[in-house]
Amino acid sequence: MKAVILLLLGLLSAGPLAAFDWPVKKAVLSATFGENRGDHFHAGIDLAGGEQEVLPIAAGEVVFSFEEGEDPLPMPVGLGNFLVLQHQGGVRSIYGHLQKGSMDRSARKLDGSKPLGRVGETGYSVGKHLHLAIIDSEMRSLINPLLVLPPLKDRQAPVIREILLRPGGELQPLKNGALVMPGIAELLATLYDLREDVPFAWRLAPYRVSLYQDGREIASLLMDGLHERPAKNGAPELVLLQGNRSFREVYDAEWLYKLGEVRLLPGQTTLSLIAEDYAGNESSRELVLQVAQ
Amino acid sequence: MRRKRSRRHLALGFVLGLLYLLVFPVLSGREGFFKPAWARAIPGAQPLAPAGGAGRVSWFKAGRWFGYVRADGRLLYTAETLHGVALSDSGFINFAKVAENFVFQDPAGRFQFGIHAFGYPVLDDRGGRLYSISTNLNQLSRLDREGELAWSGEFFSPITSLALHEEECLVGLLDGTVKLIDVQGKIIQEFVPQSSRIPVILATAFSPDGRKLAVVSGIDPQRLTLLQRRGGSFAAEQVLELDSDFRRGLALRFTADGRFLAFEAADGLSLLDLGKRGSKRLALPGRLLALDSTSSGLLAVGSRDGEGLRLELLRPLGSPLYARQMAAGELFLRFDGTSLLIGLPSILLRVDYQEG
Repeated sequence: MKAVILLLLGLLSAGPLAAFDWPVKKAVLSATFGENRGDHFHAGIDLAGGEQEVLPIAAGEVVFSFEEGEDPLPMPVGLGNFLVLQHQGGVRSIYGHLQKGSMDRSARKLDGSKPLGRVGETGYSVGKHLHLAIIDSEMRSLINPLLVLPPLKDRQAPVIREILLRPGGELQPLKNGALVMPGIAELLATLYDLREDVPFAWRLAPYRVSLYQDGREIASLLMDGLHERPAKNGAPELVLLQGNRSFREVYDAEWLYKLGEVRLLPGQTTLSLIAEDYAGNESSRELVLQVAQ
Repeated sequence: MRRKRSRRHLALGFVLGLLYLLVFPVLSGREGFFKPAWARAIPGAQPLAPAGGAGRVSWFKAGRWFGYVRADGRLLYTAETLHGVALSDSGFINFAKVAENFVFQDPAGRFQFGIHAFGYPVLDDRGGRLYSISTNLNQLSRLDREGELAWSGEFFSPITSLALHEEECLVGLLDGTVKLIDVQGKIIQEFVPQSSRIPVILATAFSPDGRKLAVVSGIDPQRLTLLQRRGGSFAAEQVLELDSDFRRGLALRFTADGRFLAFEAADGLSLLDLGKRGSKRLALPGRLLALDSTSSGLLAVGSRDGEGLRLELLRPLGSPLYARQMAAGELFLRFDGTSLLIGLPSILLRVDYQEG
């Protein structure tokens, strides 16, 4: 299965190919994978679009479900009413915030055409939406659903609002031609994606962010998936599949990304930042910096 | 011929003996019964009891309401649940649907501390340990009263079960693994119960003394695994294949005396005698709703019976001591010694077990 997923991810980066179907007929993307959720990554996608039926992304078998007020889970459940399906090859899909009473709790196998519930707002939810997460049990990772669902049309490129340098403790906004001190400094950027089908500036996390220095890629962020890594204290933490970066290594504030360190040598250096969304729209910003002697 | 006659005499003696026992039952001198102590309307119009002073205080739930009550029935505090409430002996956190702060209040409702937090709160029974579980169920964190993070563990697979005992957390995951986490957040043991066609953890429990663990796992087949503490870790000592096919979390609890393991079965409640390794099935008319026990071996079981509820009080190996149908839709059961608090929407009752 690992090979299959890797192949899929490889093919997807080359062109549109879908392994699964959208779980709703009207899919309005209201949150993307990897977004900042205060102290953790958003480990799935959110689909708004009003109250509608939720379909399995593929035929599958019910592994687990939860209905508020009915089931004895010994903890509060932010996903609200949710259902988990197992598909072929150890892939599992999770459907959260389902409407109360909309799940058929007696169902065991779903063929992909019969709804599994309705979009609701149970649990930690503001407004009706579906939270969809996809797990690859064999790779022991969460995969970005947008990489295995049919592509969504979008012509709106991500927005790069600001690029900042943190030479010491303080953030310093960068402008083209800025004079900076030599040394190693952390580079950050405020950026987000927008979508043309959302009539207001609803911010989403972009898919890929790449940082180049004098034409050479020095850092990148790719919201491809999350897997566990043992942290220093022995507790596991989730890190991005590519780059092994944890939440605290990616986010400084809500839309402020920690991109990586740059080595600033006396003279002139050019930094280029490229942000890309899931439809392939790109935004870029180039800064020529003067590094003091 | 002689042997045949002696067999007849034996059989006759056995039947006569049974008849004697039926006609002249032996009085044990320990006939148990439950006696109603008091009932309170919730939220109630009566003034709340002043904080402090003597007397035990117990927390309760009654439909959408919760609170603290003294043994004599005086209410110390009542409030309506915002979205959920984490209750403990030393206080509670009543949290909103989209919670950004945890506000801990004592049993009289007085503010103790407030912290900025993500997710939903979980308190241990005594209230001395505060955890936060992320809304996507992938993260469990331990926090102190200042909101400082003691530790945080993130899992690729959502948490489907959680059990707490003193400083240890037992986390069951959707992927079929169980992780035992220590006070520093370190995973001190990770294990996968015997394999099933579909791995998943459905329920986990600590015994009252923390020496045993129980895990219900898997689909096709579903299994119960009992583990015993040996040194710093746990080793499986019994695995039972169950006849259930749950695709959801289920009730799993050691009785307070540590003698039995009670868990939801396909058509009722199973009681596993941990000493004798035998089991008993208590048929229930519908879904199990509430379950609690005492250290003296009493068990209270609430289940849904059509549109109503059924409450049964029993000793695990004995016949029911008390059974009653009720019309309410929600049920809360909690023993305080041998007194049982029964929470129903808008009413709280206490019944006392007595022997005489």
